[in-house]
Amino acid sequence: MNRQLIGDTIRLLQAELSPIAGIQLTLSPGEGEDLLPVMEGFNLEYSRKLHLMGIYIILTQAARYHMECTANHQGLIRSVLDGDYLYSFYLQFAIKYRELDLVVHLAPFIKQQQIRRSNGDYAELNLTAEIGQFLNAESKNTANRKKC
Amino acid sequence: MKLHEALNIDIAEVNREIEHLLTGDKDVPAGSPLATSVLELIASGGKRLRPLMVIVGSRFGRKRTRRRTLQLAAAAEFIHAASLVHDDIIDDAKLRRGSPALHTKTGVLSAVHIGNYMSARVIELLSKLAKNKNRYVHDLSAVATAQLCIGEYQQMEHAYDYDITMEEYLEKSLNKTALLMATCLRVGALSAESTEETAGALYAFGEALGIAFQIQDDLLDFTQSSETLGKPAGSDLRSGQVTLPVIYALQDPRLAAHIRRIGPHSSEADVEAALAAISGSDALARTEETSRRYLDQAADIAKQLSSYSAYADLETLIAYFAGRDR
Repeated sequence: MNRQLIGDTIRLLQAELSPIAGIQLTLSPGEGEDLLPVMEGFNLEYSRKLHLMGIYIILTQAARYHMECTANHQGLIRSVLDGDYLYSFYLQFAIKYRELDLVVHLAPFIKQQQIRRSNGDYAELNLTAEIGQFLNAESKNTANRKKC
Repeated sequence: MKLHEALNIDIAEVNREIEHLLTGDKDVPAGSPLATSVLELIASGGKRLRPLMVIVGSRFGRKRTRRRTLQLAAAAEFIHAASLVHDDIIDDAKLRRGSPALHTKTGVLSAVHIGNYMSARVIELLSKLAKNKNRYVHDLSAVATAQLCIGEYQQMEHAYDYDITMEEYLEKSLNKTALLMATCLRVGALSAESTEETAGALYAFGEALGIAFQIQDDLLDFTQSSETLGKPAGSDLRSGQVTLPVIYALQDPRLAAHIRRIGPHSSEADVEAALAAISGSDALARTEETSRRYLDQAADIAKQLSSYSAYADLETLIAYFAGRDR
């Protein structure tokens, strides 16, 4: 089931990425799997899990491409461009699947990551935890609305 | 008269709003290397064409939404400036507006993330503006930015491609330049609650105007000095960009033989000879004529909006684009 979700997400993303970009999404072993138990804690439809996993994969891959951008990197041009394209694709994907609230939640987090990296701090940030926090807040809001 | 004066826009106010995007960000300490880099980049000039287009677009709306329009105008400039930082890395350009390009000062990795910061800051701002009914604001950072990238991919695919068709050239120009301008006009209009029809007409106007702008930019690479351009003249041909003057010159078999010899490892003498041959042909006049046709097309579209008082601003934009320095 878990592998299927990740596989289905990759297929969905590949179908929606512009062919001219020629980006082949690849995940490191185990990557994305830490988001699965986080999502299991909430009562989410399979399609919603696909979209959240999609956003996780797009952002992870975009950040990775841009971390490759050093002056001596052979594929520098592609890495700059692929990272740029994926960051804009992230927004298109989120808008299409009505995840704008998540975009609002992640915006300061992604911005702070760029600030740190521009300043030479390359520590990995915990995107899974941010998505978990978002789902938690969303769940509480939904519960509160039901009470009212 | 400068464009912003002709449009009666307070450029100092626009510049303050652009700077405020940075200085109002509590996550960026004043005086930090990031803050300094972005402020230098903003201060380095540029005509603020895209912010001006957002403001012109807003004049076709039914409401005055000054603050929101200014924020969107500033966001448009940030998106444009961020794309230039990454473009300079992609093109290995050492100069931007006559000064060292950002990545030559900060290193490539840092510059990539400074550009990213600017884009991310825009998304942070736009997310707050974009309640469900205002989703159009994301067209700036999602659609227009994605198309900029698609344009770059197309440019890369057609590097030193002397068989590029006119259609392929126009599509690349649309993506790289015209769509952001068109989006600025449309987003400005919708921010002031224009009708969709009016916003659509402004978008079509911006597409035609943007293509004319790109064609003129191609021309300037042949007609302006390196000093005026702020980068080496003839850069496009050297870097394998087959622009409209080259496409026209390739239709002359004698010139085509010279041009087709130019590749990534050509000598400076060969490039100079090809540049001189193109400049001495009728290719530049034909390019000028094509640009003029797109401006005429923009003028025809603008007539649909002649009942608005802001119609005069569209005429001002056309006149400005027609008279760009050559």
